[in-house]
Amino acid sequence: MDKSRRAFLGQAAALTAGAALIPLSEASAGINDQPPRRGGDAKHRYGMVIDLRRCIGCQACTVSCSLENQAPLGQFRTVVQQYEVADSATGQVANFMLPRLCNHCDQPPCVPVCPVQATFQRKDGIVVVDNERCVGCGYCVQACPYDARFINHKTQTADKCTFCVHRLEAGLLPACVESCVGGARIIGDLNDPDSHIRQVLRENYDDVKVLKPEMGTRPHVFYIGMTDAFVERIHGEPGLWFGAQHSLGHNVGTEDGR
Amino acid sequence: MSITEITVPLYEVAWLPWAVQYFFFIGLSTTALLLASVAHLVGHQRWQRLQPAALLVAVSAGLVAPVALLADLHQPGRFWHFYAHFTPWSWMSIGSVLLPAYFATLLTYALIWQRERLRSLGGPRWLAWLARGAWSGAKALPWLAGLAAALALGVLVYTGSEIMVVRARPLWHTYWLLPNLALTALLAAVAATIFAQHWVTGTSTDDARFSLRLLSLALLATALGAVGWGLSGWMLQSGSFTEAVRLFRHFGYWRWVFIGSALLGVLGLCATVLVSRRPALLSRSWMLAPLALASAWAFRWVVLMRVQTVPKYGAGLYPYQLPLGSDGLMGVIATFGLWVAVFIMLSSVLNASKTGNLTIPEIAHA
Repeated sequence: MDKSRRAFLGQAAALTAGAALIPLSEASAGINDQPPRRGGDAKHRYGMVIDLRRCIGCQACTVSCSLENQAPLGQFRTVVQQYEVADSATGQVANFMLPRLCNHCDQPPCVPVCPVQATFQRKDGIVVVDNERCVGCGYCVQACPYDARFINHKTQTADKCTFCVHRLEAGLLPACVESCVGGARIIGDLNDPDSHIRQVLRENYDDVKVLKPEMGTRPHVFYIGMTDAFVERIHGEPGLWFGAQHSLGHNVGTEDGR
Repeated sequence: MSITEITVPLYEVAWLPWAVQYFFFIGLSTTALLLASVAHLVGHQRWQRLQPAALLVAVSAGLVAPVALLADLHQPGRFWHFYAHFTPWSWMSIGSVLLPAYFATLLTYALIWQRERLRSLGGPRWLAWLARGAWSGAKALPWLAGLAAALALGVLVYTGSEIMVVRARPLWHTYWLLPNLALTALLAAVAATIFAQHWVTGTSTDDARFSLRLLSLALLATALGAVGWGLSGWMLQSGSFTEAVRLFRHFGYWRWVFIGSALLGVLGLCATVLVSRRPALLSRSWMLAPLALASAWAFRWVVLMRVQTVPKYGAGLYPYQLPLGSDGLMGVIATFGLWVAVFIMLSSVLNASKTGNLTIPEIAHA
């Protein structure tokens, strides 16, 4: 390829790349695109690692979160889901604990749907809700693939985990991290290459998983020690208490094909 | 490996039965308005005789829809936030502009149309205020019909897209949801129009046959929409189709839903063919209306409420019991009751001209 042609192609590429950037810098967002982030400090990008090998399912995080954030009874910003896993070959049974919370995704599907911009992503990656602006339409609850959001019965607005941003800003750890007896939850700045969270991610590089990666949400809660069976969805027997408390016949579905 | 859930929370539905009522009534209103607009603009006599009945359905359902929509907000008093913080990248926010625009145009069109009707046919004294003044809005009517139709299409696009963009629920995340919501609404609108023609505006055998032909077309189109979703989903292995197959395979409730819908469609087609073949039954074709309305409503109930009981992550199905209060049964009954009341009131306005005992100058200068 001669030089001038290469130069021309180079310029053309630069132009196209430039054109691709224009909408990002000037226009805000197309329908259902991510709007610009606001608030927070862009120098940081908060994320969480949950080392499942260290979780004993004590629900201390669930309780301390409820005390800290005062979610109404029966509603949770974080919870440890517990499963019984049986090996079909040996019949051996083990417990599996899966702490769940907002994934503070890089492409949070809950944000662009909000009709009043009450929910937004801060520049440090934390997704929050302005519950004085929220109209309680429930659209973000539908859009979240992780069931991380709920309509708070007391405030009648959308509610979710905020990584305890009020504590982070005061130099404290989130309630769930501080109370975790096994040290399974690690929060930190992913932009800082020397942070503890980056170190843990580096050390366990081959064993890091996120929930529902196919959703394209790029979650920022990383699990260590998770088996593939828990990545997309649970194929198994539904929660025991559904049957006990809500014996509604056809409403309580069991995967009868399994 | 087999997995059993031991401790998992129950995730409640975030959209209440009010949402079903909203999607039902707004679909009914917009598609009936499309019928009325076509009738107005086509000008063929059969279509023209259909127009008052279609407009009656459009306005009555259109008045109920926003009430249900407001009630579905958990903070209805904050509805003005939609306008204080307009968000062009959210379908719901776009809808918050389209809906009032549609509503205002629909009402303006209906009021001016009613005024012209009173002026040409006369009417009772209590409606004199509507015919007051010498001005005529007749020239604006085709424009208003066109504008209302365009806005109705906009509302149909926004309501469908609003649900379709939710990727977290694979059953919703298909473009087929837009035509399928619109076509089931059209089916209900044609059926309700037939009902209104029979009981309110009056109908001839010829008109009844024509309306019934429209109903058959709407039914066929709805069936094509369903088959299209299934066929394209099977060929492309779309997320919504594979999720439907999974539900069909594992859960008796969903098997019942899919088989029931197919049977209902076949039953509807047979009934329509039967009625159109027998002249004696033609005058009773309005009896198909409850069936068509119930189908369109049930489609929304399954799509909006039952899909919310399919866990995004967990196993099985979440239990949902319809509450008896305003967030449940009472809300559903109340919105239907409101519709019946509005329908009856508007019917008497529409029929006022038929029994009119005053002339134009009399009512105009009452």
